[in-house]
Amino acid sequence: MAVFAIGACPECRAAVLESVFDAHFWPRVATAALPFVVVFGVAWLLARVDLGGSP
Amino acid sequence: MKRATKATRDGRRGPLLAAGFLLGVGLGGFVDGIVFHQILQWHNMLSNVLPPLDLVSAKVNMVWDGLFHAFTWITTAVGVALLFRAGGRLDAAWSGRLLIGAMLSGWGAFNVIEGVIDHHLLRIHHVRGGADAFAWDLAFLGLGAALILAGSALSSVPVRAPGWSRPSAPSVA
Repeated sequence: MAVFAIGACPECRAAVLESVFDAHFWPRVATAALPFVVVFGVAWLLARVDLGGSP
Repeated sequence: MKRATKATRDGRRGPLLAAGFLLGVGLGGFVDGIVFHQILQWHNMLSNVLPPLDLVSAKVNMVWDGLFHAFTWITTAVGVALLFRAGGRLDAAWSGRLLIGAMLSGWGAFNVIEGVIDHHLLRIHHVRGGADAFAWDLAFLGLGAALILAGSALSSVPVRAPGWSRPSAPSVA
């Protein structure tokens, strides 16, 4: 606990939190998630399109 | 009790392809995160909009890199679940070659999708910042395309279902 409390830069924490949870937070979450949404869509298609298999 | 009999038809590729694809995305995403974000520290999530030039901005980028890893972990976990489900399906193809091919394709597809969206369209980061950022980004797309081609070549082989069909009901004499 003491190690966590002293940290590398305890005085930075407020600035970091302020910068993470600013007005861009949700758009950035969406941006980070977007490639994964696309790949889940591709996987969904792959699971249904049976390439080369018999019906 | 009757023994199960060998299945003789090709299995459905979809379940194993989808599982391998997501596992490839997840494991490829971890390679990206571990090698580029952490070891080389080139590719931090917001490095083009918030360059990690001081400790606060480096920590903020670290938070967003962590979110990237969280999505990568979820994708890997879903891939493992789909693989487990495919393994239990008697009509699903079961082939190491198909699985490895799908994983390579997934890794490559993720490089291409993430590269196009994050590097070229939204420009939130590049593979490596600086004057030659565009060349690094193109090389990343090229690696992705090569992985897709290699994976497609590997997975385009005939495969069979796991090998055992359900035993038929015992006949009454």
